[in-house]
Amino acid sequence: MTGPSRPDVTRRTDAADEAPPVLGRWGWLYALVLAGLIACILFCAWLAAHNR
Amino acid sequence: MSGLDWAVLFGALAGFVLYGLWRSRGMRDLDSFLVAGRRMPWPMVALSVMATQASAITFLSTPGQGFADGMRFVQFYFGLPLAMIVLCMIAVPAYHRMKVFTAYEYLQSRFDGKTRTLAAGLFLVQRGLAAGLTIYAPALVLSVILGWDVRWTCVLLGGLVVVYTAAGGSQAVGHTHFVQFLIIMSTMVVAFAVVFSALPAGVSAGDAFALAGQLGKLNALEVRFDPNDRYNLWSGLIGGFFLQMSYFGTDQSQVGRYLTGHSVTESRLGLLFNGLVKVPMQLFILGLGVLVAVFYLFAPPPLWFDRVTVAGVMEGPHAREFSRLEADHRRVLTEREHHARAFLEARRAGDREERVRAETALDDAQQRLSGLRATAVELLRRDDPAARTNDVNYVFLTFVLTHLPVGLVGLVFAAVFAAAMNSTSAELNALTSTTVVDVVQRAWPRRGDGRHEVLISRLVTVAWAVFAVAFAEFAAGLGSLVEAVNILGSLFYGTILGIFLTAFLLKGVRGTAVFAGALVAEGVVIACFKLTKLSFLWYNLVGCVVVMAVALLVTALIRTRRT
Repeated sequence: MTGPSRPDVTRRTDAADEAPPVLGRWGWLYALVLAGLIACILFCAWLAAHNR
Repeated sequence: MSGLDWAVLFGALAGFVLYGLWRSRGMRDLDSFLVAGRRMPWPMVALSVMATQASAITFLSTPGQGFADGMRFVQFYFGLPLAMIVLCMIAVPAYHRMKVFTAYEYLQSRFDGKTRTLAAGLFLVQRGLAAGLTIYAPALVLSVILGWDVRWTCVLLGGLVVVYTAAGGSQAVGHTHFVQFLIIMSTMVVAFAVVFSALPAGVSAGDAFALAGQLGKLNALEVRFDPNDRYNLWSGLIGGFFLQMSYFGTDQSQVGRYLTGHSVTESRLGLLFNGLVKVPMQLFILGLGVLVAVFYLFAPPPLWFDRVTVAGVMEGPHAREFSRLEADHRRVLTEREHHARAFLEARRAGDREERVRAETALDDAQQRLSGLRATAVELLRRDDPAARTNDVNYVFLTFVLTHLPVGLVGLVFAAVFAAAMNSTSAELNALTSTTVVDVVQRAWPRRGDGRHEVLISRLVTVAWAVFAVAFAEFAAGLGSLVEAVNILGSLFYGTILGIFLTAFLLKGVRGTAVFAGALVAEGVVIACFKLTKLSFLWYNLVGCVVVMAVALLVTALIRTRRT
């Protein structure tokens, strides 16, 4: 007896992973890292403003 | 150190090695030995990447830099998050798609064998020598502080690392990185809390912050552009971006770490976590050094932190002069403490006039202390021209030994050893991958079974460890060699990055064109080094751009000749 085959999750994930290097679903994470960097630079500017 | 500290230190070292050995089980083939079976989840990838970059010298010298030079060093890392994003977009998918063991393997499929040989060869030379220094540099500091022989400290460090790196390869390295890095960071957090609690009663966090600013230690951002200065916003963002691209994108000691990721997703998340956390982490470690500087306003520090160098002077003809300098130093320190307290009182009372007076007096005392240290350096050089005249790496451990509670001292030393083991194990594993995959397997293409390959890899790991320790022993006798090896690394990085970026981005360029570009770029970088005062951070940009430009030009010339 044959039933519906289990979805091949691994293959689907790999296919998505190997998609062309565009922002896609990773865009928000890249934006988060960028926002973190900007926040750090602003914090450094705030520190420098308190330097003699 | 007390008996408890020694017990904590040696207990931790034994624990690291045993844990590494325990994680070495199930080495069946090259896949498990060189890339941990490509099974690592992203938190392991993330901490392994961070542990590889953060060597023992990072944890010794960064607080020392915060103490001596303030927070400006943090700008060096501003390009890192940007580099992580770009590498996630172009390098990680490319490496995973081809299921490579080393970054240089990718170059063969994209270009040709000679480009792969060039890049792998440059890596083996540069990283092979650097591995010796990764052992030697912390061994030197630890030997001075603990009173051990530097040569035996090198043997101990190399010996501890090779046991689990040769037994368990990338798998053991990744797992020990995870544990060791957590211990290191926890220790740093505890050390920060202890330094803060050791400030005199009545000195609040706000007071400490105001004093740090008054000492000029909050110099975390410099927006003025100066190509000869490595620590400003622009050299950090642009020069630092190219340096980090080269290090994380083309250096096998890092590529090997994220190739262990279970998928592109896991590798990317590991790198992005590093991009998010690295700058705050550096701010924190520099902040620890700044806090130590504030602490030393109220507890007199030594004139010179490297006590072996001081002992050398005290046995020579300049002993009396040095003692006089130390007495002057103590006198000015007492005055400085008085002015610091006056500054805080004026700040609390809101007395602007008194505050300005205290600020001026504090500045004056600070300048006199700098003058005394400059005189001390002159004296050290006069006494012994080969003497070490930089004591930044000794500041933090001297503080730890003299002011941290029993037990915690041993833990901090264990953390420093762990950091040295982290970077060395990653380097040995990367050197093994490159030797086995890019040299041995190409020279003798007939492959044995998996166990035979693992055996070869283990032997290569041991051979590299022996070389690294031997080079560290050699470096112990030649101070100038250390600097020469560091410069050597910075001369190659830009060119290697140029080769890889051409591979990723310029699809029409072939092997001969990029090879010609690499040779020209290396010539230009060496010319920059010999003839200009350009900060080394910019060599990466110059090398990279020249490779890509010449490769494009040669490609266009070849096409024109064909048509």
